[in-house]
Amino acid sequence: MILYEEWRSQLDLLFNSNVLQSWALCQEIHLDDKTNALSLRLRPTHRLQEDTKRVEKKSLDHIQLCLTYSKIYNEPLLLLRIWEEKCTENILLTKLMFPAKVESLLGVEGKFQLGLDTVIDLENSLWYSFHPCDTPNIVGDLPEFKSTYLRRWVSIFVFSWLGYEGA
Amino acid sequence: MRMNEKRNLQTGAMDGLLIGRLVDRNNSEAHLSELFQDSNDAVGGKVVNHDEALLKTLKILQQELKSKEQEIRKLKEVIELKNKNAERLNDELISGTIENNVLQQKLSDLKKEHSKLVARWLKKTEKETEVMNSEMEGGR
Amino acid sequence: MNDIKQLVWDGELNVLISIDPSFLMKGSPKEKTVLRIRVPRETYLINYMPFIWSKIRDFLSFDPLNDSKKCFWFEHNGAPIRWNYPVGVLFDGLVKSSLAFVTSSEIQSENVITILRVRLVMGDSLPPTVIPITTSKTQAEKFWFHQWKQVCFILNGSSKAIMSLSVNESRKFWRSIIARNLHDFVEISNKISSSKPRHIPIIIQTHKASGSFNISQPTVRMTGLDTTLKDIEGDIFNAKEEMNADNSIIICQGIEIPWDIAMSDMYLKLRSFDGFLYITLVPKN
Repeated sequence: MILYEEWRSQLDLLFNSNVLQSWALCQEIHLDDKTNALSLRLRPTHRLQEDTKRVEKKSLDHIQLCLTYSKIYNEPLLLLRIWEEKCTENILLTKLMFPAKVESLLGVEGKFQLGLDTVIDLENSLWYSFHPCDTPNIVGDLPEFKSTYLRRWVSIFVFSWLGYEGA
Repeated sequence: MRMNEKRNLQTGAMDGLLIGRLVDRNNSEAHLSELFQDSNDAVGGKVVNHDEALLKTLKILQQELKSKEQEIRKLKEVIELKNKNAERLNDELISGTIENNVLQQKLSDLKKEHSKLVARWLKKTEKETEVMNSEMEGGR
Repeated sequence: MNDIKQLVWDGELNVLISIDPSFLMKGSPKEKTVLRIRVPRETYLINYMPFIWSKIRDFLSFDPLNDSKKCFWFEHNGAPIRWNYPVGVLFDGLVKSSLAFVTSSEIQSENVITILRVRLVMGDSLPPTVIPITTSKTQAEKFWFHQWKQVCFILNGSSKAIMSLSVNESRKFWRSIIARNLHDFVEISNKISSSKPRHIPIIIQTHKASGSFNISQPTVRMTGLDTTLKDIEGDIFNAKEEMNADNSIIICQGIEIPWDIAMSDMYLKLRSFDGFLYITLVPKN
């Protein structure tokens, strides 16, 4: 568990540390002061792109992540959207993709549980959320390591399955 | 103790009110419900029986329909392409006609100029011939 | 208390589902495009998807269960409906005037019939606030269980109570919704909820003039047993400029709720089948 204020200041530290900015997959990053959410646009990994082509028969455009906070669980909350590239009437568009087995497509099966939900704090928009109820067990919330809680959370919830590599 | 009693009494009155309103709600929302199918069998996968053979035919026909729709979409694309080609040809035709008109104009202008020049030249040679003739006559 | 739970549980609505013609082959009989069913207030609309598909199956122009290119959703008057709220909550949110909730027998004439009208539509992409209806048979169950996990966390501060349910109990819990078994439902939901909750899981919907909804989920801390609805007025109307206690009424489970009701009492008696207490703010006429 991490208190909201503590999370907010660790989010600033994370943002200013440029770890995410120098991530090879990161195409865009934005810290929204109004919603207090950090949103990322990621280039899909080669493996993910191939798997999407093979399993879903669709062309993956990009992955959108949102690092926010769950006031219910008092934990960091990871939201995710998958965008596919689609050609309709000769116009190239991106649209949200809902794979039949999202956990297995992303390769996080058995590791994280994902659910589709509308997020009230983000104008009721639709996201996959990584269920945060197990977070303390996964990240470890011993008081002496509290100051790096979010850094550890990011390395597990984000980098552990997407892979970190500096640009 | 007295506080508790008071609370119980209040809760009792509140329950009475809620019960009254819920009964009214259920009655009014059940009004003319005989027009609506009782759905106890409808939920959770219990479905109406279907003839297997018919279902198979239906599947085949749906596939057929899908492929026909795809075909139509493709043909529409072809038509669109052809239309575009026809349009381009039309454009070229128009620009050809315009070019032709301009050239025609130029041609007729040049023709006029040409005949003028020929007339001037004829006049000039006429004069020259006259001069030459008179010189020859004078010399005789 | 059991009486109230029973009455809440028994509530049913007349639901008229019209199917958009784009689903059906040309020349399908018109009467097949409308379904009329009685649906419990305490269930999800998508629990009726197998029933709906089976009713129109013979006339479908495609196979919805295997065509992943199309998205389906429900609409009311052209505005998308969120299936992830209980049917009764959807209905309460669509009623525009407080008059509809006055249940005095004077107004109730012979010809008045209450109907929830919804339309099943499809398209290439989904309205932004709607969860797509998938062909998975466990979609509703999974979503619902996740809701209960949140509820458990809000009530008790941990998800221990729900995580310690056995597989059989979890199955029985969902089954109680489908089979309309109140006894089983109460038995298991009581294991999850405590009599002295720390916070109340509450979702508030407000009808906006534009026809859309405003949804909020305030954190309501229980300071004592005597906390009433009036005491959390600030949470309810928080940041909703045009609404206040003078110009709107509080609807829960289709009935008007008095301001002096005790919160813990209201929660335990009137909460929905997903563990949340849904409140609808309706402008007074």
